[in-house]
Amino acid sequence: MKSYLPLFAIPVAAITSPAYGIQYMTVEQAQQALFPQASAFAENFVQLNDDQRDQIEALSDVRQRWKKQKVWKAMQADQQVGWFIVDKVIGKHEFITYAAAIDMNGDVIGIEIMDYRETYGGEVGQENWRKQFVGVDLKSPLKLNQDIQNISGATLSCRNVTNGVKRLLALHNTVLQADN
Amino acid sequence: MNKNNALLTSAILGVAALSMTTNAAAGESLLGYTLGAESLPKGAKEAYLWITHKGDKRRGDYQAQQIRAEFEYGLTDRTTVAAYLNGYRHDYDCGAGCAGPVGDEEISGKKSDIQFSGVSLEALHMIASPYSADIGVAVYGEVTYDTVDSITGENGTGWAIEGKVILQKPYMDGQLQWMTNLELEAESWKADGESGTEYAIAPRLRTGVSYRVAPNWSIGAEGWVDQEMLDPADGSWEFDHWDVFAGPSVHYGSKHWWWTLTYAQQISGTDESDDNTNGLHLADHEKYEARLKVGYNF
Repeated sequence: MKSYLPLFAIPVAAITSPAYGIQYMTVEQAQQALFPQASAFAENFVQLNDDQRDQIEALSDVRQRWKKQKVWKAMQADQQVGWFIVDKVIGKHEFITYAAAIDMNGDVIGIEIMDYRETYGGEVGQENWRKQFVGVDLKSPLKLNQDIQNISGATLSCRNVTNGVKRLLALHNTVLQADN
Repeated sequence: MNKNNALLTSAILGVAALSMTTNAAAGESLLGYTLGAESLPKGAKEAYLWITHKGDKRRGDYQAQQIRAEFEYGLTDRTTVAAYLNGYRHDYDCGAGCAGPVGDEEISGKKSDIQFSGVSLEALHMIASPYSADIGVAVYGEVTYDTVDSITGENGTGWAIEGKVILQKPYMDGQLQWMTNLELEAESWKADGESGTEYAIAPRLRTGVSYRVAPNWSIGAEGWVDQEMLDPADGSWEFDHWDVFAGPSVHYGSKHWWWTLTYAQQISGTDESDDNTNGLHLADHEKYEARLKVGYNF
């Protein structure tokens, strides 16, 4: 049998890009954008046990994939003014990294997209899409095509960021609020 | 080979030529053969190159490659259209015949060439997005004009119309994807030098899963069962064959480039003659296929 299979390896090898990092916004930049009034951010990373992950899933109807969440307390002088959380959700090819700011009442102050490398849907980083999350809380529907508009070609990204915010609100309700 | 067998062989090979040309796709392919339900967004453009290698029949030395170049365009957010240029490379030395009964063989002689074979037009309409509905649903249609028998490389004229219903269900936030295609294909083929035209209808079921193992990388498995009804030029509609293929795939996707490589082995099929005891159908298909699809998003 003649073998032409090595031919397949040529275009594959030619187009396989090496892994590389693109970061559109650092943690510090996202903190500044979401809490411009804050004077300090106190690291408060959360290690979740299985019961807490189950509670978060039960409240949000979204699977709590991570056991550890990167959380900071946003401080203005000696007063905490909110929570700053960095999270990752699945995009079409890679993880989408975003930050959410939640105030002391459990309402979303805003979100920032920190790292987005998908083919379509770069609009998720634009203010018009992000501002849909301002003021939402755990009781909000947070459903694509209801209170959050979809972006064509990036439905998976939009859905997973939306679900991610809902999950972070459940994290706030389950763990962060009790921690305070 | 008597006249009836010659006509039947011609019909089978000709129709197979068409049936093997029409497996097109819309958007990035997680699997090599089974399509997903997503359309391109309006105004988006993608270019693809496909190479499908097919190897080994009952006897002799047989290799063929199907080559397709495709351009796809998002007409609306839910409707994608595409055009293809199709071609074949054949390289075989079959002697009396690489398939068929002993003493009445099919696919005979030698050939080594590359030919442009025809064009295809395709449209896909996404009825429900897999990421905003309970299950993603799309309908798909394709028309192909062909001038080359995909198995022998001989010339003729053929048309094929193919319809699909595509289902896609994501699990684990989209990390795991299940896709199923219900397909129906109607084909005609008139070999050069022959007076009659043969027709065939081929229903097909494909299904597969793809799992993201790391950022950019997915592995998967897919399979399909294919059946063909044939109306030869000198006969009436009859069952011709069925076959089952299955195999693994690997997919890499990034912002602009993606590729998918799938290997599929014929697991089972209708023996094409009484003295064929290997439980495979090797007249219209081969023992294995390997497909590489490379895509570029503009």
